[in-house]
Amino acid sequence: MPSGIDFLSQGINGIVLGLLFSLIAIGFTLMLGVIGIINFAHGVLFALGAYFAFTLRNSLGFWAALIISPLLVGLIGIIIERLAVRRMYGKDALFCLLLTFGIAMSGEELIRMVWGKLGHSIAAPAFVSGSIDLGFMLYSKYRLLLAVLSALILFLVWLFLEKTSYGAIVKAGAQDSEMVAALGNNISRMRTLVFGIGSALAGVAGVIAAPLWSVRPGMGNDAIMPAFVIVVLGGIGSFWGTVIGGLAVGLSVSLAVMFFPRMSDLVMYILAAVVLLFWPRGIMGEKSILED
Amino acid sequence: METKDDKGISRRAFLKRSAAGLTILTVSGVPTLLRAQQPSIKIGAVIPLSGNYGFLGASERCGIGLAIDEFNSKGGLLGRKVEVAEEDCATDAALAIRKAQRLLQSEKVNFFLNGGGSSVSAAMADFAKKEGAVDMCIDPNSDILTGEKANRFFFQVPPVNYQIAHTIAPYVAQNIGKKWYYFTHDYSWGWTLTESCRKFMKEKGAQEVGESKIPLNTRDFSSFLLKVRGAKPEVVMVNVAGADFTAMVEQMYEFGLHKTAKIVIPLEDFEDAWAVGPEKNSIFTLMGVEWHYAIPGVPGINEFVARYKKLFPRASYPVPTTNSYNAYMGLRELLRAVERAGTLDAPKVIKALEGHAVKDSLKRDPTLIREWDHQFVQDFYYFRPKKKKDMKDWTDIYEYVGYGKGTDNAITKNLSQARMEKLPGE
Amino acid sequence: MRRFLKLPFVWMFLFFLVLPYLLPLIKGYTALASEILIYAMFALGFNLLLSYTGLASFGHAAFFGIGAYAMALTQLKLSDDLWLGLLMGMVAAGFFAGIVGAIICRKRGIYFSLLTLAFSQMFFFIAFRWDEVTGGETGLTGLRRPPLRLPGLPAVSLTEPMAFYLFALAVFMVVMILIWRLVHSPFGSVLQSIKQNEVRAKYLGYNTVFYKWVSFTISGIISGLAGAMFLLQQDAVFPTYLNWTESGNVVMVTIMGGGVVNFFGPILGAGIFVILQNAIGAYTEHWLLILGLIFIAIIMVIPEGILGLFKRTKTVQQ
Repeated sequence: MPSGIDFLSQGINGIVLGLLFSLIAIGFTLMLGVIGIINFAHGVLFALGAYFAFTLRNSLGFWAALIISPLLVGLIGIIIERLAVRRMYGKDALFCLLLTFGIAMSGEELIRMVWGKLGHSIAAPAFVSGSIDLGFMLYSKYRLLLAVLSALILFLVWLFLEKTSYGAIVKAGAQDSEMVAALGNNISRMRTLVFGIGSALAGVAGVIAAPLWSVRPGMGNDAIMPAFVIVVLGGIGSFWGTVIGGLAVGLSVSLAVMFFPRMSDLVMYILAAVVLLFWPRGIMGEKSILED
Repeated sequence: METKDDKGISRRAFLKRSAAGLTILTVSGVPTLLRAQQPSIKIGAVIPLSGNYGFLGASERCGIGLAIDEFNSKGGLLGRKVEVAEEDCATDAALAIRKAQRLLQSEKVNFFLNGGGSSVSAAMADFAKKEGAVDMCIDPNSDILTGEKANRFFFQVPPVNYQIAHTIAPYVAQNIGKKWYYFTHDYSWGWTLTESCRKFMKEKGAQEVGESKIPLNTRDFSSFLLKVRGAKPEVVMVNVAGADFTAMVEQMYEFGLHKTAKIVIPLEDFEDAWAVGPEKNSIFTLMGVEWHYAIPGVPGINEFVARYKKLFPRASYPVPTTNSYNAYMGLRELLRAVERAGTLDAPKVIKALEGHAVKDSLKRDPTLIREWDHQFVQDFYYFRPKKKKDMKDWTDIYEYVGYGKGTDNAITKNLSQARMEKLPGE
Repeated sequence: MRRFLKLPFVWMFLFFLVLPYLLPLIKGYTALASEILIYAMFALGFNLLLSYTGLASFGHAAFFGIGAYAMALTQLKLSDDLWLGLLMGMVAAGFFAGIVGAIICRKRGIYFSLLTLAFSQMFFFIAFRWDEVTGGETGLTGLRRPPLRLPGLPAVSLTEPMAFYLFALAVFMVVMILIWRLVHSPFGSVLQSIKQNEVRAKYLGYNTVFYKWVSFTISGIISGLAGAMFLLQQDAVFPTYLNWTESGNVVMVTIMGGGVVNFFGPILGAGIFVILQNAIGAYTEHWLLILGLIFIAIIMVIPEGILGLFKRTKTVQQ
């Protein structure tokens, strides 16, 4: 039987993992909630963030890569939105989904062509390399940094949405884009911006996850499915829903290892199914225009 | 004899095609023309170029190239050129069968070579039997391939788990530690490796203190690594493969697992080891490898490495890996068997392969192609990380410790599940 | 009028009869022709839901895979009768489609897509992990094509590619005509009216949720049948059949051919997709890139699909 110490250490680890999952999902949920598109390319953008960091780390170091890679990914996101995605607005949401499906498909292969088929290891920055003795357990120093960074970035997203006037417009746009446009806001520019921010968030999650999970061409799949599940769990377009969903996934994966280790990859899908039975719109979901 | 050769794969496949009424003309209508042109002998290579084992394909391609070059540079085989038709199986068994079907029906290949892990290979074993086409399997180590899936058309080039465990486990129990914890990749390959290790561990009086089954495609091992500490093992056996393994090594290092236990990798690929770099590889105490480019006291190995470097000066890896070796050995022995049989006729080639002893195996002892389970019975080696000051370059990270003979450690007939069928006409 | 309506089926039948002889011209082969038929069947079943009910499922590979597994398990555990296997494939897929449909048929739009995806992932993991039954990652291999038995006739072996192709063609024609009849029946008109305006259909007194559920279940059954046929084609089943990328492919195939505007669109799409996949793979190892770019191009340039293009030019000419 697992002891109290086990619970504590797995619990802490679950929260750390959950923060990373929330970060992975937040860009995805933003695009879904505000622009109303399912972005299958989210995983590729996540992978690109990690690969840019892989290239930049050697010359510029961790902190520079943490800033520059997401900006590059954001830029790519903006280009994708300007060239392709925006033509899909107003059409059936399915088209956008298929478009990003195609982008995800070719994007993964492009990564393979540029960076090669092989996986690569990315070292954690030297000052957080290895483990630290917390008294009751040894824990990875980098993961503690990761938790702080993820929480910080999530907080910044929250600040943007809740405390800035532009955030208010973005949130309103999600509810009623015609109304926002009627009030003289440029809805098209807002969507580009949201797509860019969502992409950059995918990228930053990639940079942070890379030293843990190493980089390889198919790594986008590690991000896309958790993002889906978290959105279903938390409720579409809800900031707090995403954070709660992420933490729930992180904790359940971590605790499952103690009791049913073989189920640790399945547990998030079971969780999603159970939640859907009781909260059909997810934990924090409200009735959304996306249902019609 | 030529007309028989021109039939390609086998009588069955021939009948099948003429029944379809498609190629009856090219097969029997113009034999004289074909004889004059001497069409090349075609090998269908279904190898992983993307997906979970995507990195293996690059190494395998080099091995295939070496074997083909060896024959073509001396004027071909049976007076014909040898050619390879390659397909990406993307580590996906369903796709692999479709690609193999295409190679057979559209490219009219004579023989198959396949990589891509145990699930692709299990499917290919059934495919080879059904189509009556010889297939050399070049990368997985799963026991089912020489057990329940074994058949006359399918040959298993790398050693399988039973032998790997039989070589490594007794050594670890005697020299490294007695309290063991297992990380088992949660699918047939991982289970059988752990199961075999367990059997030999018990025989040597070592004891198991725990096991974690790791689901396939796990990215984060932190919870598993926290759990293992409670068990206080002396030895951690890591039976995890592919991209999951690379990620796991990172995290074992991150969590300092090597500070509390000795880590043993019963089977490691260089591709994985090089991906994580020498620093993180140094956390291991012992690792099993199928082949290494610098096994001491093996004749011909330096020439082989030199030939590789000459032929592939820009390859991803400057030295051949286990996977290039296996691809090379599988294809070379297949082509040599064709040469000995003097025909492309599948049953005759199979008989030329069965029971054959490969003297220039590029290992310490000759390799035996066993008749009753089609296993290439060969040496298996164990290595340990080199000291940093002794490393010559980034590929040079291991040093030789010892080895076990295949004939001592491979599964015996009474324990094996292999049941071979009779060939048509036997 | 009736005679003209039937004409496309006759033409299609004749075309498919000669297809195996045409395919070698583009590096194809008989088994590839069977694959086209099976994929076309899958896409037609999917399109019943997409274009005739207005529900975009992004998890249909699950029912395709369930059909294949059910057929395989029937053969391994129960009996290797061809008809029983196909029936079990349909029953199992229909059963699970019925359950999933009951939970999600109240949803619409993108939310519906999201939920179908989540459910199909669950089925994928069950297939991937339940080794005792599904064979796990390795799947179930080494199955065989049972002979075709019809009452009063001697058993016919289907092991030759051409024999199996003709059998697949027969099944395909039956399924296609059944779907055609269904969408042109009163039931089909209700589905169409739900697609156009569900609220109005509700006011007209139709239990729209029930109609959507029936459509979802039928679509699942056809996918299951296609999956069971695909098992016969490959003699093996793997969890990758249920992968979300496969679900994406069938949506793409349906849209690409023009399923939204034309009943026959999915068939054209299936043909192009299967041939492309085969051909690109033979030329470059970067086939995923090319296939992805083709998908992007089609969505951007001709979102109504290829048959939609003809319709457009026709209207322009008029």
